[in-house]
Amino acid sequence: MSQMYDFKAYLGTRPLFFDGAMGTGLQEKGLRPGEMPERWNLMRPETILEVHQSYLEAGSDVISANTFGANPLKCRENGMEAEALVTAGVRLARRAVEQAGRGAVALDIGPTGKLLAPLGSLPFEEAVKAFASMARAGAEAGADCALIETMGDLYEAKAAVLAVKENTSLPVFVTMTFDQEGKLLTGGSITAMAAVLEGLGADVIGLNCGLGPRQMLELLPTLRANTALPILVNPNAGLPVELDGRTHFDVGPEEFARFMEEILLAGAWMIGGCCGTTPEHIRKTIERCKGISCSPLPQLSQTVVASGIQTAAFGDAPVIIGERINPTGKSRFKQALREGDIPYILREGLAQQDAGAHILDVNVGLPEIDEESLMSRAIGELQSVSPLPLQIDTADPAVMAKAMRLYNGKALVNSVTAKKSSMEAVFPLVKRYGGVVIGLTITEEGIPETAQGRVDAARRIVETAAAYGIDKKDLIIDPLTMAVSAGQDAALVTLEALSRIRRELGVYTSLGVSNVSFGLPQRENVTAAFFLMALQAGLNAAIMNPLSEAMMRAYRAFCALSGFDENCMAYIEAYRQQGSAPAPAAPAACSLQDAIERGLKEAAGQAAEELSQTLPGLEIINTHIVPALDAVGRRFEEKTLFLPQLLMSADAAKAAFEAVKKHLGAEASEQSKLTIVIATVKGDVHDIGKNIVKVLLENYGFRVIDLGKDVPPEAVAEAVKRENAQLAGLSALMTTTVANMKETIALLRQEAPHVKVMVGGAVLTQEYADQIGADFYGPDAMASVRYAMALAEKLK
Amino acid sequence: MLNRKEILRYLGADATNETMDALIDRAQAAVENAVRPRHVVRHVPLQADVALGQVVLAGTVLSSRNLARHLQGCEEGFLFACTLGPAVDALIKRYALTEPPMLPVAQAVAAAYTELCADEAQRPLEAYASERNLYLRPRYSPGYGDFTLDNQRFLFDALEISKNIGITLTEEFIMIPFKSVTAVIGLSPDPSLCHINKCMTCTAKNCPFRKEDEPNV
Repeated sequence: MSQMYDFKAYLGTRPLFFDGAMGTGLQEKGLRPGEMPERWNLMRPETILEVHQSYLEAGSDVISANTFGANPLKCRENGMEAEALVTAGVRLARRAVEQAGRGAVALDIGPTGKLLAPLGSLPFEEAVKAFASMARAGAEAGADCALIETMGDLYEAKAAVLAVKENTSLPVFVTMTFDQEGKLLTGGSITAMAAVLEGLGADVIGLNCGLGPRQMLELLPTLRANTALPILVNPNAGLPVELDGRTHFDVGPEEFARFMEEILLAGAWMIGGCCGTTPEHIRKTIERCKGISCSPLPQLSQTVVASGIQTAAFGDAPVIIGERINPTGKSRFKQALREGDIPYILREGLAQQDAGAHILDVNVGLPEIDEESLMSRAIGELQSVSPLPLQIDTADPAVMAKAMRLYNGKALVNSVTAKKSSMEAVFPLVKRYGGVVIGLTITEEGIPETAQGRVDAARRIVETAAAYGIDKKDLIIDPLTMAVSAGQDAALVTLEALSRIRRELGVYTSLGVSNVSFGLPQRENVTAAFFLMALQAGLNAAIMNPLSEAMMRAYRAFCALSGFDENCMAYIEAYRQQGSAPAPAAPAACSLQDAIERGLKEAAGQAAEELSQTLPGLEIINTHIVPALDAVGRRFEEKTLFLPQLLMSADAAKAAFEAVKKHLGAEASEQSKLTIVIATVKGDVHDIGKNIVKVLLENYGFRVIDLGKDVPPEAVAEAVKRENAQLAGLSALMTTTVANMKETIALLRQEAPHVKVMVGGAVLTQEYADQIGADFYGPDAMASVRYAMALAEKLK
Repeated sequence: MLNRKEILRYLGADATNETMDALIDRAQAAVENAVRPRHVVRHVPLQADVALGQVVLAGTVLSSRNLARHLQGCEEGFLFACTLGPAVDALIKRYALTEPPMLPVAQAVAAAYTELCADEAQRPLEAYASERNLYLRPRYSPGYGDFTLDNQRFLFDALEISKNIGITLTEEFIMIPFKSVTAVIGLSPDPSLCHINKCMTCTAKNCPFRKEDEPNV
């Protein structure tokens, strides 16, 4: 095998030229629409070789092997063996390079075509495994670099980068596909892409496919301003145009070359083409561009964290890190963690997002729970509903490692200390997965009492990080907020350390501000004042409660006064409604029953609260709440009110139940002994119907264990046995997954013969339900409630 | 314009009232804010053989009697896919967590919006057809009748759907984002089969959303 191509020797000395389209050429040579191009590596190798040769003759330095879609997941569906296709593909490109006596071979890695969990069904590690098998086969067959391209999802790109880096020593080039607004298919931004891929240690990043050179030229300045890495740009030959039933691209070789010249001048170091480009496009481009020298790479020192969608940058307006996802001192949150109540965690996150948090802290550590698994689930689920970057907050390095690996983006990591053991555990993770890490000024001796001691500790963190190759832009120092009730100068020491660290070490700072008021009454008074003092001292980020009005008032006023809020727009937006408008009218007094029937949540809660002063709770439930729900149910069945209204009434009833519970205690107010396990069956990911049924059953007072979607039969049986459930509810939307429903019922009959099974879903009918052996078929959400009520009645 | 009657039908409502109208208005604003519609289309030659129960699309043979019947008399057509994008799924998931009454409403509005976007994306195809005195048959999707879901694989590869517009397939051939459509659209010189109600070409007779109020052909 020939010598590996030495990219380092060329990088930056002159532009490197990639090849153009492979698929476009193959279609002209007879590849059918829908046929897998990689099959031709085995069936028509000479044709593939010719395409490579044509690009080498045009002057390409790097040719991409015909391996784009040869991942095991896609190949399995097409009955092909991925590794064989990769090996054959890379060898063909290798042969072309050797015949030409020049050039390098890129192992081409495209997306799997699957969406990663939790939004999709492909587990992250399965994606890593699939890419890893391509990477190993490609490296063994003689690739010089890996080109991960046409990625539309940063999360999948992360899986691919990790796979290549963990299994080979190939340089990693990553190009992603954006639309004209600079958004990925997932909605991700260019800045997020730059932050995440740089954090993961990609060698070169850039743009390919989707757009022509003109549109990419417009996106390039944003990318150039946000990465210090070399940039690769492989545009299509313009935008596709349908002509006489064929797809054509509208930019010819000459015009393409002119734009590519501008792209080089705008700071790219490597260029080539994607769909629709031909050897002629590449030849013209090289003729025009070969004399151009590479612009120097920018020196960047931005401190940025990212989700798969967006970034949060430090150094401009102070950053709010929402602290509410944390069990410390919160019994309801602890209960949610013990019960694995992920929706509770998600609601906490969304409330903080709506209140103005820029980043969400995630801490799910409790001694009695499996923190690693809960942290992974919480992060995945949060990222499926919120675009905010997350702060991974754990004291356990194993949990941190798993969470950083699975996190979609470049995380804020909470935290490392100045202790040797802590830095040894955390810094390698930051190096491997990327991230910005919060350094607490704690040493082996504890928390230094003086500002000098904390500055010294901070310096130690910054210097040690550098030894691991972690730049100080990826560090934020937290000089620790101590309770002012325990030490008169506690706050002043923190503030002095804060401004000195900012000034002397040139790193950004954060504080968990709430600690300052520990042990004092009316804590918000002190916390908000301290927060302002810290902001004035140069605080860049605060871990705080964005749901606290006092804190947000201080924050918005500070931003307006400090020039971070242009024309005070954010301040005005937040407060213009308040004060001038009359206070919202108290809901017109209405009876509890009326409030529930009309779906008025707050009014129902208030009415129940008032009744609780004079009536026993059970009487409220039996003579007010239940009859109201019953009336609503009847009207739904008579079709005089509809599903959304039924849900509104159920919501109102829930508020009433909660008010009653406060007076009665949870135990005594338990409405039903019936436990119901519900799930959307294996293979089915449509869970809207199941979620509606769940809400209704819960609000009618049943204990509901929701197993989620795509649930294997074994998991349903296991949950029914564990929870001693008397009823199981299964949903399926597709005809194809009803088979899995049948299988689940069969297993339940075997493993838990006592349990009744109700089924529902768009494709089901009574007949179908009978065939698969269900006890009950619910044509709508209310029907399942009625069935559960009847069953509960029998069990009394 | 979004079809409000259609939205109400998805919600199982045969009439409306003030509360429902207010919920639908809110959901519509939220959905409109979240959508990033994208589509991809490919013009293909086709042969439909009703006797054999198969259709040849751009050289690939697919077995389906219903599709063959649906495309009878067409010699060309379009492969078609469109999606509202992932943010709509996230919006619906958000309502499930924070405001359950909005869940079915947003779901229904998004479903109607999907139809609307598909119809909009189809406009240039209609223009293409009318210039040539041809007619478009209604969209026919995997999952209708005996045109089984695994035919998604062919449409996804032929249109490079994942790469072009970001829809992905699960192992069971379910599309994510959910609010997505794939279809085969026949082009025919004969208008007679082109104006039938979409539902009536489907053999899922017990589908709860089946429209019975329009004439069967």
